Amino acid sequence: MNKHTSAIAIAAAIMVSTLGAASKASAQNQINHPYAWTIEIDTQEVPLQFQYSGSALTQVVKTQLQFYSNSNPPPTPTSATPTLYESLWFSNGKSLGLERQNKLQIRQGDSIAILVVHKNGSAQPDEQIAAAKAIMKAVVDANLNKNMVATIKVPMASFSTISQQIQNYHFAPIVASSSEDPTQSDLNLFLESVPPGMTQGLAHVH
Amino acid sequence: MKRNCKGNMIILSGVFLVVNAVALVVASSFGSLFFVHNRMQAAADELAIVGAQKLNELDRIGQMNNMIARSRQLVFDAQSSDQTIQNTINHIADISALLYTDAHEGAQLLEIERLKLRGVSMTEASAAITTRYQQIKNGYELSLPWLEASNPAPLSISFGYTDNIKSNVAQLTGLDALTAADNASGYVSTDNSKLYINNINAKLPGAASDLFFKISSLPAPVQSYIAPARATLANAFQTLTSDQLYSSVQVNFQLNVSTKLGAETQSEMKSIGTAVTTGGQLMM
Repeated sequence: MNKHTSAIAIAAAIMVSTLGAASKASAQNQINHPYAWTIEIDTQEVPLQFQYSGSALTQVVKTQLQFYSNSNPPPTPTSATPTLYESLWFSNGKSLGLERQNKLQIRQGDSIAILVVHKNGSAQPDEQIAAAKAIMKAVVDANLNKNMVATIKVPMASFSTISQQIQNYHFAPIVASSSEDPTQSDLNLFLESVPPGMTQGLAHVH
Repeated sequence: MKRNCKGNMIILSGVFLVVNAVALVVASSFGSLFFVHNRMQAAADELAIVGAQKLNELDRIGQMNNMIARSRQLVFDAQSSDQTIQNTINHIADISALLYTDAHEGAQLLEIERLKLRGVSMTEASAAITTRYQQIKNGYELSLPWLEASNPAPLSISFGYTDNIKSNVAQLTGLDALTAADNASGYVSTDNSKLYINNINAKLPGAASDLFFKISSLPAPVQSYIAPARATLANAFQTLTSDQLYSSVQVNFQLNVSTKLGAETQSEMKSIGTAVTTGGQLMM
């Protein structure tokens, strides 16, 4: 083997090794993030609202929905930066209002994750109900935009309440031994807690 | 023959003094009346401002106006999504129908609360005006041997809005179809402010046309500055012809005036105070 041949062989080996590493990293990225986008739902109670005698509009909760790309590299230079999609307002678990800020500029066909964050750490039941309703609105908006919801991440302390609230929208828990076959459902949602520890599948039942 | 004029000056001076004294008394009476009237006007303005402040205490009217505009956008969006889903992705039609029902019920709840707020704000404003009036009403009586201004008549309080004051709600622009419909309906001012005009019932087309979205007159912030409650011209006051929220107060303060010397006459001295409530905030 002459000098040129060995140099080419070394270069090829480095190239193969680099490509392999890149491919492995990409695959790992896909495993860690089996979704290209995140819709983050930030919830918080808004104090000092509708203060008048006999007001029923107490416990006002505002949820902000923003989206960003998880792809590396992102589809557009700015898509990795969160873009405010809309704000939703609730009182005592009842939907009150919407302020749409931007269109849902998520590439059609991409899968998404929904992430719920309580801005004050813990959340009262009203805030948890608001989070569940915001999730359902995000699910519908994602379907309208031809996006599949791969997973829904919710705070551990709110996991049960949010799961129960989602079930009010004609969803039932997927139990391995039950006759409910998730493959027969037209829409499945997968809840996981943050931090990890709890998971639940919910199948849409008519 | 030379006339003796001695003593004329004394008579003339006496007459002059008497005339001067009478003129002084008359001038003093009118001056007192003028002073009392000025104080009454100040009191009427104060009473109107006290009531006006109460109307939008803690920005409750501003918050209601803003939430009604948001509710309208939520119902419109839910209705549009539901229609699309029923036609295209029918498998989640039940979910979108539930979201629409929730938005619809939220709008109905807001309308109930808006009417409740209308009553509460008017009652509280009336009470605040009456309380203040009881404290000050006796300070305006004037009693002179020849003139009396007393017995304040019961206050007359009216609620309404101020002409040419739009709402505090800036047009929501996130839904193109709704923005276009609002512009076509004339719900939004055509100047640069892009505020919803006052006292409208911005109904939605379609299945949600049964809902009321009533947006009231309320001063909007100017460059983030929220106007305090302030006195306005009486002729800018307008009574409401619908059940919109009140944003202005007019108070009629009245004293009975009577003369005591000579022919007794009776009249009334009136002052009208008008004020517009504290401005509302724009959406957060």
